[in-house]
Amino acid sequence: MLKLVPRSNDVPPEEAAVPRAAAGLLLSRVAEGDQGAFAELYDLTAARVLGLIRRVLKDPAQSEEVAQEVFLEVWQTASRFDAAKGGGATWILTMAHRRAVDRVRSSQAGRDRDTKVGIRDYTPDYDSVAETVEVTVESERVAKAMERLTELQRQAVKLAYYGGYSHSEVAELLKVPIGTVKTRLRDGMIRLRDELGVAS
Amino acid sequence: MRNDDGTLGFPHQNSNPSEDDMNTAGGHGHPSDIALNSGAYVLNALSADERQEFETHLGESPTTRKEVTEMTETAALLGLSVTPVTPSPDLKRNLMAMIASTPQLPRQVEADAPTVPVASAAPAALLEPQGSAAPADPVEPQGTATPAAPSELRPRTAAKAQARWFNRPILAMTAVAAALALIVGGTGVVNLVNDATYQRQQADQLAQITSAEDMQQTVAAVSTGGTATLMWSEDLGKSVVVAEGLAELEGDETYELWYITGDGAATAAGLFTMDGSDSVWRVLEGEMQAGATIGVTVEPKGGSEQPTTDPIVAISSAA
Repeated sequence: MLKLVPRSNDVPPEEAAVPRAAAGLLLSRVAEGDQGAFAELYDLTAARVLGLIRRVLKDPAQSEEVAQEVFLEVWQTASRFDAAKGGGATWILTMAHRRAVDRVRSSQAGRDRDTKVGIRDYTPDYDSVAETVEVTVESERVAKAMERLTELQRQAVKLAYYGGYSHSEVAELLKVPIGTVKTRLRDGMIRLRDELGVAS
Repeated sequence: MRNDDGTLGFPHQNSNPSEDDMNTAGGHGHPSDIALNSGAYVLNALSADERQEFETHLGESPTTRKEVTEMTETAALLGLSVTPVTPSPDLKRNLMAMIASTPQLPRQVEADAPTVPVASAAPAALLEPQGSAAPADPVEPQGTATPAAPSELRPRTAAKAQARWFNRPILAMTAVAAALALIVGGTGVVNLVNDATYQRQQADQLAQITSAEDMQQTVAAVSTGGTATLMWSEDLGKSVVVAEGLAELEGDETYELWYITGDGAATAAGLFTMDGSDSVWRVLEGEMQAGATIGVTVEPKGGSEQPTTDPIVAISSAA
């Protein structure tokens, strides 16, 4: 399935830098009804938002629909953004992931996903090849951090986050009990947090 | 070895990656079972029920909140590591057109207030009608007539049926802020039905209604407690009811929505329950006619074809 995600070659280099702080400032202007700030925020984050949604959802048309929902929600709820709880880009990407996962679970395509294809796509070998062509600055950091996880943690995190699989689906795919998946997801995220230097 | 910053203090986070496939056995200070869902939660891997349960726990545990905040930031980094995809120019064009007519949640408003104040007490700035023809006056309570509906819509022949719907205490007012607050993020209050497809459709329709240029809204008190806010677009022929603070029903009962015509005839428009939430919303089935009144009754589980009890609220969309 990963190979269905087109690798975009026309991303300008400056977009590879993380617009995280800027996103938060723009959000506070968007909350005041500033449409210009919304346009700026969109320009800053849209390719990242769509990239993530496409990774989860695969289908280009549905992905754009979900991206539209996300940005509409950003507009409507910008006043609820709380900078104390994290960056603006985090807020938007969290929303995007949630909506992408909702969509994948609700669509027939999601239900019919071939679990065998799913597991093949997320094997480490496949990913390590795929990751060599990724272009964002976070990509390398995340890839390195991923290497610090156990195989099971890594597979569980990737299936859940990039595949949009629920813990029970992940359990089925990896042939382990649900309780084990839950703890692996938590342990994996804690390890990634530490490796990526995220602390509040 | 690693992770010795001690921020969380959970024993198994310190385990070596090569050993930790066996690390779920609890030591002292092991987090509770539900706290172990934090990873699945930030990765959106929980079921709807578990998600709700975890969010309740989140409200009670500062430790878990901190963990989730950090994990959310971490998950976002996973998101940012994905290859960006440039959207089509249409996406931005559409969005810019849409936001121009889409209301926003106000800052720090009555958003979290459990009930809506009556019209006279409500801050004027928050009660600005979105549409041009929202009713401005509170409807007379206990009226013999029906102030909320123009009299020409109510022929005398249907007096009895109409009395059922209209001779009830009704408070009508406009309240953009309170109603919009409930649209936040959608998923937080979409707990009426577990079916994800249904939720998606409901959410999409809600977005259409709230972004319609002619959207209007009005709030009415529910006789058994709580409020019901009707938001509608005549252009779309669609409406949504936001129920706040309504009583939890017995397991064999449901709230049922109705379109009521001027002569008191009722057409079923969908079911909802509160499901333990303080506020839920429901897009009405079928097409809403201009000036229609929306009623709510308590019916046996599964709903009725015609109302079997007196309405607990009737909301008029007539100006």
